[in-house]
Amino acid sequence: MNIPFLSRKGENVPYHPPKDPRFDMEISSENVKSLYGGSDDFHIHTVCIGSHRNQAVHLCFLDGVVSGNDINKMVLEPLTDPRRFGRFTCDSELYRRLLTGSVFSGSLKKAEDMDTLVQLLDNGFCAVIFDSLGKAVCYEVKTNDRRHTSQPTIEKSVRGAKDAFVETVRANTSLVRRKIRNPHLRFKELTVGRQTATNVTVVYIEGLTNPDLVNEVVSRIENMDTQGILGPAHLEEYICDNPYTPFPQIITTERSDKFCMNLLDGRAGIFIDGLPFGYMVPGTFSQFLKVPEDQANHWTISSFMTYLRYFALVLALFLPAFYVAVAVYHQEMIPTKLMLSIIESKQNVPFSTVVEVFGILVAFELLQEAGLRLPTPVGETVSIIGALIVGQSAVEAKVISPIVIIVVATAGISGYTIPSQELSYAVRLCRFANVIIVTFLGLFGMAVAVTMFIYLLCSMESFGVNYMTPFAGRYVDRPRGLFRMPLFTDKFRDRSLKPLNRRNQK
Amino acid sequence: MRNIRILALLALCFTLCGCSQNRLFANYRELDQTELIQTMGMDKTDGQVGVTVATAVQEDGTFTIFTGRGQTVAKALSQIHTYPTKKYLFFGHITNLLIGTDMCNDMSGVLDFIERSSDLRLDTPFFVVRGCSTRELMEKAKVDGAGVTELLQPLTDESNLGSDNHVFTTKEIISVLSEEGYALVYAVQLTEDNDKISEGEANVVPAGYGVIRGERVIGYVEYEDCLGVNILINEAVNGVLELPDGKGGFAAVSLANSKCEVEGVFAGDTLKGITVKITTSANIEQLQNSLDLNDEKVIGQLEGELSRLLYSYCQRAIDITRDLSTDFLGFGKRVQIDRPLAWRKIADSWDTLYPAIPIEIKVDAVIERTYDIMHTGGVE
Repeated sequence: MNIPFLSRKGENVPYHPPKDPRFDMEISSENVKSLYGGSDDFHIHTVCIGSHRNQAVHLCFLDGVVSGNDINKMVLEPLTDPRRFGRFTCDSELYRRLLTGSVFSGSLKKAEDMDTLVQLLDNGFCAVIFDSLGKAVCYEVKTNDRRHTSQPTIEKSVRGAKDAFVETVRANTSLVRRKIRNPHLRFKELTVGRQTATNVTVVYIEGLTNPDLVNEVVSRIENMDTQGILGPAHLEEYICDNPYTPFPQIITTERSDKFCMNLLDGRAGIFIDGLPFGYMVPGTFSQFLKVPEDQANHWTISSFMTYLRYFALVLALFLPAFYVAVAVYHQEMIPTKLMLSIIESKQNVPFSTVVEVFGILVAFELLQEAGLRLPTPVGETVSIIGALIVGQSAVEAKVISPIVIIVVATAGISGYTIPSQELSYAVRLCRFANVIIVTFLGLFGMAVAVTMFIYLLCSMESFGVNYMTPFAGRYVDRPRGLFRMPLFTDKFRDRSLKPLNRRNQK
Repeated sequence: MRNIRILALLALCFTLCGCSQNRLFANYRELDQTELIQTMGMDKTDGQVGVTVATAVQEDGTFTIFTGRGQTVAKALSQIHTYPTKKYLFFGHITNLLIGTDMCNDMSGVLDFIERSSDLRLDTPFFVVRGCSTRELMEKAKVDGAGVTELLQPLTDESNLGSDNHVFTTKEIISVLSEEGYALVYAVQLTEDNDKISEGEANVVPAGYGVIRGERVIGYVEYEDCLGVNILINEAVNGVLELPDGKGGFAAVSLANSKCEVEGVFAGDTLKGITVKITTSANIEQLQNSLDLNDEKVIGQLEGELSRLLYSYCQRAIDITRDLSTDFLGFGKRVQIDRPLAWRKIADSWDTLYPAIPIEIKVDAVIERTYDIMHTGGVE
C-alpha cells in the first residue's frame, strides 16, 4: 500500500541495486588494506611462520572489536612457534594445517571471498591472509568489552526473572538457551543493512513453531533493503504487515522470560545485534496487554489485572473525548450535582472546554516528553514543577478548570497501566484523534471513533494472524484473551499460531 | 482500498450529523454558559397555561424564577427562552415537575408535552401542589437559603427509604394512567407553621396523595390516610404506630414488611366480592408500661391491636376509593390477573360495579422482634 504524500516518488533519484557480491575482488592483503583505507582501527601485520623467515602471512583485525590478548595468545604465539610449524613446503599446506587445528581457537572459519572476510573481521575475527591462495583463515577473538546482563529497566520485574537482554546477540541467545534447554531451539543468523551489515537472528523451536511462520519471517528480513538497522523501527516498519498504523504488530520485550514464554507458545523471535530487545511475531492486540507477571501471580489476580488493563485502555483512549462530548453536547448525561459542581469550577475560566482539554493534553505530553529526555533527577523535578506547581497555579488562576485536569490526568495515568510502550504511544495518538472527532460530532462522533477503531484493528493482520485474535477473526477464544486460565487447565497452545504441537502438557 | 473505505465512512458520518445544513456545532454549549433549570411548575391562569421554572441555587443562595404563558405548555416554555438572560436555560436537569392547584382541574396536554419533550426526563418526580400555584410555591418556599428544589429533594429521598408517602415518577404516572385511567400523585403544600422556620420563610410539606383520573385531579387522600393506601398498593411501608398496651399506656411498633394480596370471590363467572389479605410484620420500638414480651398472650394481644389498627387504615383507604368512584388501589387489575376470563365480562362495567362490591379485609399482623434483652444484670 502506497500513500502518495508519504512516499518520495517525486524525487528523481535512481535506484542503486545492492551489489552481489558486495566486494568483487580477490582476497589479498593489498585489497583488504585498500578496502579499509586509512582507517586507524584497522591493523595488518606480516607474520613469519615458525622459523621460516621467508614464509610470511598477513594477520589483520579491527582494533576494539577484537581482544589483543587473545590474538597474542591464541593466534600469534602458535603461528610463530617453530615447534608447530617446523616443516611445511608451501602455503597450501600451511593453510590446510591452520584449518585442521595447528592454531587453536574456539571458532575458526575460512574465508574464500572478500564478502565473508569483511563480515568476519567486522564480527570480531582476526584473519590470516594467504596472498598466494587468495584465501584467509579467521579466528574468533571477539573482545569481551560489552554490557553485562542487568535488571530490566522498562518492564519491571517483581516476581519474575530479572535478567534483561543486552546489546550483544550472542549474550541474548545464551540467555534464551539457558532457559530453553532444548536441542531443537534454533538460531538462524541473517545479515541486514547495506552499510551496517547487522546481524539479525531469528529464533524458533523446531518441531513446535509453525515452519511457514519462520519462513515468512526469514523471507521478510531477507527482502529488507535498507542502509542499516540501528533502531527497532528499522526492522518493524519493514517487516510488519501494516506499517501505516501506529498500533504495534511486533511484541518487543527486554525480558528473557517473556521472550521464552512466547517461543514456547509457538511464536518466532528476532534479535538484532546492537539492540537490547527481543522481538516476537506475530503480535496480536491482546498480547500487548499481557505482562510476564501474569504468570507469576495467582490466576484470579492475573485475570483481574488483565481486566483492569483493558478498562484502563478504554479510559486512556476515550475519557477526554467522552468528557468533551458530554460537557459541550450532552450535558443531560452528567448527574445534576456533578454538573453544578463543574459549572461552579468552570466559572471565569476564559477557554472553551475543547481548548482546555487540548491544552492540558498537549501539556501532559510535553511534560512526559521532557521527563523522558532529561536526566532522571531533573526529569522528576520537571514532573513536580509541571504537575503540582503549574497545574495547581493554573487552577487557582482560573486558567483551567480542575475537572479537565482530573479527566486528562486520569486518562494519562490509565495509559501508564498499558504494559506495552508501543501500544501506549498509539493510544496517546488516538486520544487526540478522538477529541478532534468528538469536538465536531459529540457522542455520535465517539460512536464513529469506536467503530473506526474496532474496524481498523479487526481488519489488521500480523504474520497471517488476525490482530484482534482471540476476540475476532477465525480463531475466537475470548476467555484466553480476558482470563489468565489456571495453568493446569491451559493445556493447548494458541490455535491461531498454528503450532506443530498444540498440546503443551498432559 | 481499506483506507479509502474508512475515509468514505467518515465522510458519511459527517452528513449524518446534519453538518451538511450548516448545523455543525448547533448544539455546542459551554458549561459555564448554561443555567440549569431544576424545578418546573405548570399553572392555569385566566385560561392560559403558565409555566414557571426555578434555576439551581447559586453560590450566594439566590435562584431565579422565570414564567412564561401561552395556550399550551410548549408555547409558554418557548416564551421563557426568549427572556434576555446571560446564560442558556437548560431543561435537561429538571428534578421536579409540579402541577398547580388550578391546573389540577384541567391538565389536558400536560402529560402529552412531558412525554414528547426531548429535554425532560420521564423519571422526574411528579407533584401536585395543594392550595396555591406553583409560582407562589416557588417564590415562597425558602428555608435557610434552600429553595424549592432543595426542599422537595428530601421528600423524594425519604420516599425511596420508605416514608409515609411515595413519590411517583412521571413515567409511573403516565404508564398507570394510560393503562388504568387513574393514577396517584404525591401532593405537597406550603406551610409557614413550623418552629424551625424563621419569619417570612415557608416550607414544602407532604399533603397526601392526589388522585388523577383522565386529565384532572378528582380528589385527595389526606396525609394521615396514606398508610392504608400504601399497604393496599404494596408500596414500601414504614412508620411508627401506637398500640394500646392494655395497661393504660401505649406500645410503639414500627412496621417492617407488608404484603397485600387481592382475590376476587366468584360464583361462576359472577364477581361476588373481593378479599384483601394483608400480612404485616412489625417490631417493638418502645413500651410505656412493663410488659412480659415472652408471654405469648401479651404478644398476641399486641398483634390483635395492630391488626385492628391496620384494618381501620385499610378500610378508610377503601372508603375513599368508593367515595371517588375510582379504583386507584388497583383491585380490578389484580382481579383481572387472577381471573382473566371472568374479568372480560365485567371489565367494561367495573367503574360502576366497584363502589358496590363487598370487600372483605383480613389482616394478619405479626410482632417479629421485641428487642427484649433477658436477665441482663437482673433488669428486665
